[in-house]
Amino acid sequence: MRAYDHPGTSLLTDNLPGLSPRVEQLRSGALDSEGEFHQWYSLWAESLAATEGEPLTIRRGKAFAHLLEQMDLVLPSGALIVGRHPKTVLDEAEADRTRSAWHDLANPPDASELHYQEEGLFRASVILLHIAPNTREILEHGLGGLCRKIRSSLETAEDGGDFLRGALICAEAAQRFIGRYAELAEREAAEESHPQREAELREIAENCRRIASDPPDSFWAGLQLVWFIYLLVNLEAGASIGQSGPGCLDRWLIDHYHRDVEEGRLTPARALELLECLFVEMNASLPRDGILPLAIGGLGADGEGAENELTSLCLRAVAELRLLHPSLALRVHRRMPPELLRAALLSIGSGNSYPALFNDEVCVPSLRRSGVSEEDSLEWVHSICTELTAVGKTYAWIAAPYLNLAKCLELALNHGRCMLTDRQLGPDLGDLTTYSDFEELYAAYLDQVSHVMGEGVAAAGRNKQQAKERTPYPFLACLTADCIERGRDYTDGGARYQPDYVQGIGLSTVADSLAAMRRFMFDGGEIPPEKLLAAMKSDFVGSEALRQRLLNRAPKFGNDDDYADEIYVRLVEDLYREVNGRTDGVGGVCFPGFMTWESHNLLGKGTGASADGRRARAALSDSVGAVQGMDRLGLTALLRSVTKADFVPSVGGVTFNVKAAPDLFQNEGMLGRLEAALRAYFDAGGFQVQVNVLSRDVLAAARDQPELHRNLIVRVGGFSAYFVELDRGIQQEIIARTMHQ
Amino acid sequence: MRIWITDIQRFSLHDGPGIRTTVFFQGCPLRCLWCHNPECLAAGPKLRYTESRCMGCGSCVTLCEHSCHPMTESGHVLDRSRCQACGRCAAECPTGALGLIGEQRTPEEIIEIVARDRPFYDASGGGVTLSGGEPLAQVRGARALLRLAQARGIHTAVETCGYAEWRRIAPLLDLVDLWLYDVKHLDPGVHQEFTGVPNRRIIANLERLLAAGAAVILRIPLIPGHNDGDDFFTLLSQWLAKHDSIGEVHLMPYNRLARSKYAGLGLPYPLGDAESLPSTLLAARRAALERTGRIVRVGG
Repeated sequence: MRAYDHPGTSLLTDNLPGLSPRVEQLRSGALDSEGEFHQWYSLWAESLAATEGEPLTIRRGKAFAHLLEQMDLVLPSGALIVGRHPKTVLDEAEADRTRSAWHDLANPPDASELHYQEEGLFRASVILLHIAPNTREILEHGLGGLCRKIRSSLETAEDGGDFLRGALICAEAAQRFIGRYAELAEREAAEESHPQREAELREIAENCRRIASDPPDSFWAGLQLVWFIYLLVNLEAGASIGQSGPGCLDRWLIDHYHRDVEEGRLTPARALELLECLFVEMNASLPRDGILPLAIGGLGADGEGAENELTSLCLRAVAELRLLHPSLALRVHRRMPPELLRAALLSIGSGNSYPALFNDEVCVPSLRRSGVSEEDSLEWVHSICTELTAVGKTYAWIAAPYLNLAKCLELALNHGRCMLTDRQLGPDLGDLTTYSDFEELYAAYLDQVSHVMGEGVAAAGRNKQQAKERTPYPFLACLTADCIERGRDYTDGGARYQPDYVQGIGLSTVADSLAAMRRFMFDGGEIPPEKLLAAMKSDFVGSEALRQRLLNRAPKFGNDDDYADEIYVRLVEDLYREVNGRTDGVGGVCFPGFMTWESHNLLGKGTGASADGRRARAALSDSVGAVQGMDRLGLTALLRSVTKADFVPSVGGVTFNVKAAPDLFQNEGMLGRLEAALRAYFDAGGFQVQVNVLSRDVLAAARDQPELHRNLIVRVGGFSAYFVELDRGIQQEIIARTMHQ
Repeated sequence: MRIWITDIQRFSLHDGPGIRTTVFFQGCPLRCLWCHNPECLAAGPKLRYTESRCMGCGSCVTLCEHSCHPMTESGHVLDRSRCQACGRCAAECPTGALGLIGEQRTPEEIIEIVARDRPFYDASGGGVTLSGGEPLAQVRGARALLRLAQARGIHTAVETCGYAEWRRIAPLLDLVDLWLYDVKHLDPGVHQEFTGVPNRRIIANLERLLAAGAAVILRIPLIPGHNDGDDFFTLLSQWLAKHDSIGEVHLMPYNRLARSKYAGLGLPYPLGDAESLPSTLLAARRAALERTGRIVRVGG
């Protein structure tokens, strides 16, 4: 990698003041705030009750407008970035009443019907968003520009008039909402006794006044606009916000930053404080289970890095604040200044879980391959986990569905029947005892995948149809190319890209299961198929020795062992083949991925015992990683195993979790080794990696549940040992040591 | 040609620069009280038994021709007095509670595994390290392996106690990029007392290596009550003052991790209840060595 002098990276280490007292105060205020987002339900319902009989898109537009007109405004003392989703305190019964009143009127897509299949075949989500809005356009043309665009489309619209009228209601409501904050800031300024704060409040008011219709004229105002648009897009979607990202902050605002710094209106320290104020607002407005993805850095149009000063400041702000949001991702590539990767690792080593590292040299081609244009592919967001979408241009259905690959294998082994309920879920192609060789078994597995995928994609299509019929998104449509131009809603074919991500779940569970059957049955006949099938159907009760053998003596993916890894690679490629060319019947085109989120747990609960020795109902393997605890040869072997597969086609996302011992962050030499390992992984085509510092909790869990943690290695010079094989006293010693590091 | 080894450990972080693969050779002329790789002392297979992993399935009971695995009322017991380390039980043990440590591999087989992590060596400045045990105890195998590594452009390091005839070491000079050279004590009597051999040859070899221009990092296992006192460190400072070409010293503080290994091999743990080195003493020793102008690392 070429090291070169980059203007932005000095900001990673420059002596800037730490968290200012203002940010400290805002931070603790945000963390301590009590209550829930009840107001949203009552205001939304109030409006819906008053608009019965009108077109749905108009009703939703009016509900959005009503919310923005009536919602409490919050301007905490010292805040520089304003706009907060207000929390109120209600007793539980009252809160329930409010929510169900809203539910009766809103008739949202019905999760219970299609969301989850008891037998764990698949899960088809009904959650929208998982995108970032096209705030770039608002930064360039202002909300006034947006309104003009909608009006001009309205003039020429042949159909879609209702949609465009709904969109205009939303856009104008957004303008007025920002205006309300301008007025509030002015009122507070008039009452403010401290001259410096008064000046700040006046500038906040001025910022809001301007960006209510015009493009921002400063970094501060730009940041404010990015936040308002994010907040508003999420408020249209529901009370529990936090299923989308704010977009490419560092790229979009760098010109504002440079101009302000050159003109002496802004210092790096102030820019850092503003970013920190923004991040604090995120934490005040999002529920704890929300996720706010922010991807920074990455490749630019010229093939060079697009990293800049704001990339560095975002990294620094996240490291200083140590808050839940945003979920930061660094877009790594070969020409990225090395200081950024180092700063990212230091942040992780200090106990932050962020940033996640994405390989832009895989991610950008991945988007291109899914039909995203060259220009659009450069601005992406890991929409909330690791699924990639082009910012501001995408209607993504990110789990269409979560498809349980391990269940497909279960069906292939058992006449298409569920091992837990004995229900017929797939075609009867035989069972484990009827396949004469490995290829027959494998072909039966693929047939089941094909069958289940057909059902799962159709379920996703029905969900999408529901969303289209019940929840148009006229405001999000304003922030998504090319809805206004096409005169079509976000859920109705307006978006430029409409990918459905079919996520394969339990990849390594299947790879290890197939490898075990191949080794013990088809290669040597050591284990009779009847015996294995019966053992799996009875969840290994009475067959523990057999289960231990499967766990300990079969080839396992993640150890650079081609026997298992080749099966893994084959599974990946066959999933691609199975997904490609499918459509959902509602305008979406299917693309593959392995993003798991919590599906490996949920789908695992519906899955019978598997031939890798996994007990019935236990979790499946996570995304593209090895089965829990089965990567026993250390990081390099695991990284090599994973990069044997080509993940460029997995635009639906790849999540690769790596646990790193705290020693790896201890000194320069160790950090350099970790960094080198990750670079080699990316050079070999790694998609993404989430580095987690091995915590005391993990070690304690390993002490108590050794079976799931056989991969933990304790290293000292000239010696290493598996943690689970050490005696308890020494385990305690290591746990205690880890706590202090 | 085949080499007796116990393990080929990838992603080694403390046995030389960068990310390395460490090959653990069997056989060692020393008998250090604190040895943390007791499975590497003598060449040949050894049966390891991790009692906590035994599920009592009894598969070993019927397999063993030497009746080493009696089942008692409290479950499986291992009778090592009859064990021939044939490995039949280990090959069938479903949980891995029984395992055979020590196997013969050709240098070609070993280098194929080593070479798998090539991209990581290139990215980190790493390579292969021969350790053990004592690599010089199987010097022909070591030489063959080092040749193969060199031919592939893989950085080579040898971790050694230095106790060998010089004629065994000399042919390796051109094949080893870095020596990780253990010095346990400079007083011959004390050295003999807790390693079983005098140190004259060790020091002489070290000085000849330096004279030949070899790159050497000094490694000092720091053992409470044995070589952590002023006497050794005074001698060490005096010796270092005469040997400027040593630029780096590693202090390897004693730890008790190996205790479980001894238990698994059915061996008594020679250091008993020795405690870890107090961190203040470690810091003091480190500081003293740093004052001699050396880079000092703790733990390698």
